[in-house]
Amino acid sequence: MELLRLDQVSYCYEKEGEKVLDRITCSFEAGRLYCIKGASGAGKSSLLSLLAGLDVPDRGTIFYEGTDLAKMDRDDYRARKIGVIFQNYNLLRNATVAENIMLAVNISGKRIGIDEVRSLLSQVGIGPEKAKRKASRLSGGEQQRVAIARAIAGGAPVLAADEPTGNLDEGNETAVMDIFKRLAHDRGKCVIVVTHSQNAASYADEVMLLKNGGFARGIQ
Amino acid sequence: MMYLLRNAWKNLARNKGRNIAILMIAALTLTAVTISFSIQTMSSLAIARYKENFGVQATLETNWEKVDKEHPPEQTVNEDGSVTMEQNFEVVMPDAEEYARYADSKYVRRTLYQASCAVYSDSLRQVDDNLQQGEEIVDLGGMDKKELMKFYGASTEAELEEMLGGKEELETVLDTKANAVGSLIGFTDLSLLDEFATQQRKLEQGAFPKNRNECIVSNVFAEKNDLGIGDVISVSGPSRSLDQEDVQLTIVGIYGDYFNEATAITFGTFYGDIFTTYDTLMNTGFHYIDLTDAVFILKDADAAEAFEREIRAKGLNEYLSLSYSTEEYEKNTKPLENLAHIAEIFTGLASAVGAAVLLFVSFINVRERRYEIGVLRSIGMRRSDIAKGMIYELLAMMLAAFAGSVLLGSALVNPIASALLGGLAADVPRSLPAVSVAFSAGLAFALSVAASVCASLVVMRHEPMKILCNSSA
Repeated sequence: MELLRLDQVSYCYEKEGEKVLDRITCSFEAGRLYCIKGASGAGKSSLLSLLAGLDVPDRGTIFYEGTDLAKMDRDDYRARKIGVIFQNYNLLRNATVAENIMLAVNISGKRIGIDEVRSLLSQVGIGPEKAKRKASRLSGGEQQRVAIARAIAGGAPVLAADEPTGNLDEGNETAVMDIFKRLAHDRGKCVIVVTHSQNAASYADEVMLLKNGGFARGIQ
Repeated sequence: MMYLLRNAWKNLARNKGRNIAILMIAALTLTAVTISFSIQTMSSLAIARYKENFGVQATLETNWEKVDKEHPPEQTVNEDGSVTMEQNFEVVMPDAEEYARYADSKYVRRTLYQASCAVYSDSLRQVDDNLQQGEEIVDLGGMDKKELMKFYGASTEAELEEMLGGKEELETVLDTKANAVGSLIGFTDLSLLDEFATQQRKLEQGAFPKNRNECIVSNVFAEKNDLGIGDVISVSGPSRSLDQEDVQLTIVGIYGDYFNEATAITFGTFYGDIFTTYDTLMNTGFHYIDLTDAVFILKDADAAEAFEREIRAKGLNEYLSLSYSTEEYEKNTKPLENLAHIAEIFTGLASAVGAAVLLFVSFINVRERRYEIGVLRSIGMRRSDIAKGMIYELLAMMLAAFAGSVLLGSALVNPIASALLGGLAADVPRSLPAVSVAFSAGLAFALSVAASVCASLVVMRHEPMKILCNSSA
């Protein structure tokens, strides 16, 4: 089932500047893991920001389940429809692991108890005893997993991850990509991962190469 | 909504350092404002009370210019050749009833009275050394005509009458009981008791009489008669023929005398002075009560002339005139007005500077939290909800700062007010006035609103990606 569709989407870093994305048209379906690759500055993160509703395209339209994103409440879209995992995790550093997750769930309009948080953390390989620890006191790999837990906690159908394994060693990279694969195949999520890593890309159902503002698509 | 409150509460603890700094600045600002506003309020209240009590004081005084002109003093050449000028014309002052009739006027705010009469008792012992410097007391009470003639050196009854001021005066003296235990002094207002105002007498225990049949006595008198607060004394009036009934008075305070020799004479003080309310004295039914002081408090200085015309029409003795002055009023209110003005300026300055500093710190605080705002926006929190959370935090801090300022202000206002006001507004309570607390609460609320607007502007300004891109992770 098609969840997201881009139709002739263009984007510039600055107004009147060079187009980093040029009339891109593509779609993303539920239950599949997508990897977007490309050289630095190719526009991967910009594309992800547009998909996540964090930024708006200069031209073209992004549809979520057939509805123009521009006509949707973007706050509501970010809270309920898409979970974003940032390269630098973007956790609330002074808050505990549990508070980070609970707050995101609360924003999506749901409730979650501490036991559910611990269960969620176990799913991403974080010991439940770390639920009460401040996010800033976790390692990079652990913070990345907490960011994943936060993104999936609200039950969003789409997960968008920007270089989620960029700061991780090979072992952690494999573990994180395994999680994404399970989320896509077992739980029917549409997972979109921006990555440089060939290893990470090897987990994808579809790898999309971003070059010169457009896609060169290949299916694994 | 609940999670916003919960998160705001947790944020207060998460950012302890910053919040404590903001809290302290807010508390100190509010305390400074509360205290300065309290000083301003106290000064204004003191001025208002002064106006209420002593607005323009007017008294009836003998117009000596008219008396001297129409009844020139008689010149007597003494045996040794010296000349004595003697004014034999007596101007009779109005009695209490007449004063009350004059005071019933639209120009008079209220009237202050002081009156006294000698009192007698079988159960109380007279203090022997009544006068501090040992002057001998001459008690005319109980003397018959012969004794009086001997005392005054009069050869005839007519001469005695003339010496005492008339037949009526002679009859009064002859009707007066012997051995007065003291004087019962009734007053309407403490300001009339000069000896207490000048600290020559000080209330050492209890309180001044306020209600009917309450009194204060001197420590010497109390000791002599083994009396204390709560004891009831029984006294009768001076007339042998008319004052048979005793009146019971409850002691509510004991004062001490601190006269030096000079001032003791000036005030004519006696250890047997018993102070009570004017109302009590006038309701004893005692005879021979002397009205010693009567002051009209006029509504304003402009009313004086009209009031004099009015009482003249009511039958005021032509040799009496209304005397008033605004000098005293200005002397007493000017320092308070200056202080109130300075306190007003300080209140304004403290409010403005405190508010500016607080808003600046709040602005910096919110700017430093841009990363947090970016994260919250990126996970879908609405701008309005982020702003609400920050407003809750600010309100909680302001509430704490306000509570702190009330506590701190309560502790500091008394010593500061005492240092600044000194004895200028002794009758104004030196506690935090409710209006100051309300002003402080209002300022705290205004600062919260201003800081909230500041926070909201920062939150509203940026898109989440821009905030996150511009904020260090």
